[in-house]
Amino acid sequence: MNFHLYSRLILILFFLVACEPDDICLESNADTPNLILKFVDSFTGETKSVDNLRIKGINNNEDFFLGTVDSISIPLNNYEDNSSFSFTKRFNTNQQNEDLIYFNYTRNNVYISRSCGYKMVYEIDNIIIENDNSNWIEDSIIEIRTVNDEISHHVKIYH
Amino acid sequence: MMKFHTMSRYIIRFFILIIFCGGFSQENSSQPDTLKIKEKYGIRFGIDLSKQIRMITEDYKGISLYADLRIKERLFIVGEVGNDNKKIHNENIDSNFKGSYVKAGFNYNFYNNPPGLENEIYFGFRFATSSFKSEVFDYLVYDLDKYWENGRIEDYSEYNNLSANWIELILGFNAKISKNIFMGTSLRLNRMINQKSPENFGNLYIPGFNIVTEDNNFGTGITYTLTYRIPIVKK
Repeated sequence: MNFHLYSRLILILFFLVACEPDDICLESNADTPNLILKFVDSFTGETKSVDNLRIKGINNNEDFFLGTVDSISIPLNNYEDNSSFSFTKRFNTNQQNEDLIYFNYTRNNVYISRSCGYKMVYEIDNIIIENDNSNWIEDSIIEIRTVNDEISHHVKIYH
Repeated sequence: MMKFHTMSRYIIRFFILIIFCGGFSQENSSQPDTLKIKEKYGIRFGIDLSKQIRMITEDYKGISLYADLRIKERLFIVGEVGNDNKKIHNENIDSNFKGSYVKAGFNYNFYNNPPGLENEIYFGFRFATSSFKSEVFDYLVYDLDKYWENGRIEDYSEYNNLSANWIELILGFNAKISKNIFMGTSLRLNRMINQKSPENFGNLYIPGFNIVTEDNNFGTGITYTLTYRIPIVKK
């Protein structure tokens, strides 16, 4: 082998090194967990769905959800230590009833990886249902205070 | 990627130069190998110019000093020290890594020089250790819902006393460009041995090791050195 051949070999190696894999966050990585609410009957304690429920964040122009459900997972605001939502039962009917609900929590970031960055996990402090004299939501119970996964419901909403 | 290409262009030009030089010198020095030419041994000091190039093209500051001592005809003992300060603007995280490193090892020149020439094509091995700190300035929360406004959250944190150890396998090239001055380049494959990363962050970059990719113990490096030899012994 001569100098030329060696040089060429090294040159080829330089090109190989120049290929860097792009870091892409795969969706298989769990993202920031949502808060999972389960709607239950306040007399029997059994799962009871809410008819035509509309969920909208206060100060958010978009509706988050509209439909009939017995449980839902809602996203918490990552910028603040509280999120406020409007829960309207029988939306767009003459029996429409809107309740405002406030979630207070502390946020902690959890590092996932270079490509995914950080996710947020929460510690729920309390839930306040604003009293409007005709509340359809009667009570709420925090069952799992630490929201770091979406395996089961964190909060029970009695109605 | 673009920056990498700019750098490769430099290196390619450098190589072309070297190839020509090598070619010419070989032709010129094709006289029979009868005369025993005195070979210079000595200590060489140098600087890795690739760092200076990176300072122009990247959000980076650093310096790397190089020294080697020829102990046998083909064997050099090598030491390198350096300092890196690198900002990483990622899609998700803005962070900074700074610290110092030391590398020690040897180079083995396997190129048979025609008489009178002192070029090298070598294999090298280094053991390297780095001590550094990292900082996170802001980040984007990984949240697929995107129901609430989702911009970067400024939340400064600092992680001190981080460290890493690794080995480097090197293929390199040194050409004498004038009396006692050498120019060289080397290509390095780094293999992590261990690293100490903070609890809630990762080592995205390690001074001396360069970019750390996900789930991968390997890294790469390129140097572009200019060295000056202080002749000590003639053999």
